[in-house]
Amino acid sequence: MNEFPPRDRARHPPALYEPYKSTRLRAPQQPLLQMPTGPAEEGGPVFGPDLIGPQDADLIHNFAAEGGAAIGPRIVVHGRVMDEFGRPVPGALLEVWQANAGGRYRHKREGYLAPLDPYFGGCGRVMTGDDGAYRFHTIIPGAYPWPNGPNSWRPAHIHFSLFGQAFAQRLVTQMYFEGDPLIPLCPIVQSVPDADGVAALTATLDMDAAVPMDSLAYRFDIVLRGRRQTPFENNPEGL
Amino acid sequence: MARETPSQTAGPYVHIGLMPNAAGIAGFYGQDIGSVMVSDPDVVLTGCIYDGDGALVTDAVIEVWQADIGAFGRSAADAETGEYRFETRRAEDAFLTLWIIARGINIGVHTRAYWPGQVPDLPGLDGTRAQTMVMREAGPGAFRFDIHLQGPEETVFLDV
Ligand SMILES: [Fe+2]
Repeated sequence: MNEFPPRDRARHPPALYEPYKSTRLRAPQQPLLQMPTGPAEEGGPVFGPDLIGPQDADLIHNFAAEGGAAIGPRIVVHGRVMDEFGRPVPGALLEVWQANAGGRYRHKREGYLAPLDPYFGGCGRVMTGDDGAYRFHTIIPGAYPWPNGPNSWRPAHIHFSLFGQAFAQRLVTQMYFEGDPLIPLCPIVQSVPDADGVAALTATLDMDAAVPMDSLAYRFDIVLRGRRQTPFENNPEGL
Repeated sequence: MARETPSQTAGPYVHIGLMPNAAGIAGFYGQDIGSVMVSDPDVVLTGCIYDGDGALVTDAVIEVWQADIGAFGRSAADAETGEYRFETRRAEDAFLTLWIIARGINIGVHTRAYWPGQVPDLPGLDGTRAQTMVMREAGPGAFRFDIHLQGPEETVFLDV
């Protein structure tokens, strides 16, 4: 019981954020019922490394015909998944999805006029190693318009879903790209309460991880909720 | 302490990433995660998700976790009927854990579906709202749990 400190709700977007219109009818209006974590939240589904197929972490090739490759600027995305106490989270499952280089998703409800890339599915997954590190290959997705305001555009982004070792750690988020001028214009990004939180969602160019003559690289570190493990953590006042 | 990475909405195209086979992007994964919860199901749970206007939310993904038997399920609201569906087993726990993500949901909402006859015993829970966390029997082995994101019938959501 009570293995996880309460979620730091001030870190996350509020349920209702008026400039993001879809929240208006979907945000709960009653306060959340606060309770300590218990067995139902302190464990979670375990996905072994066998889940991950050889091409799952390669979005450039995992939907392409033999010998083909997705169109777009080739990148490596990598980073570490840590918890709030600074410990790596091994065996975390990351599922990612994104638009193609033209800003078009492969989805039956998607109607943007940019074309599909026959060689790009837009879906991948990867599991962290013992040090919490992950890495996948993809292309930089395009910005795309969406029906929020009369001329709303999403900055380029990759959607992430994460499972740690407990259901309490479940997280879905989006990764942005350093320097994108659409970031400050996007109400979904700006729903994050402070600049530090936006920075945490913004991947940085990482030339050290780039593959010469092949791919640039972006670094995106992720922090999941942390499980208390030591007497000090159980008693943050240090008493 | 480091601060948790902020949540962002899953957006309308969440199915591409979480249930690609169901979304018609077949070919590079085996079956979708959570599409089979247990090998020998004996109950079916279905329901719909409603917004503050009472309209069906047809783009949500809902996850279920049963800690007592280690069963995990994932279902997409049907694009037309809005219905989600899980086939699982009824085990010891009084409830199933549910987590819902969708366009317009900035951070996944967490609730519990208690089996009929169970009384959610949670500190601070308003007795008149407790029934929003209880399934109803819909036939032999069939259970129903509708979720209201807002409005007078708003489901109790947990900060846990
Ligand atoms: Fe998106």
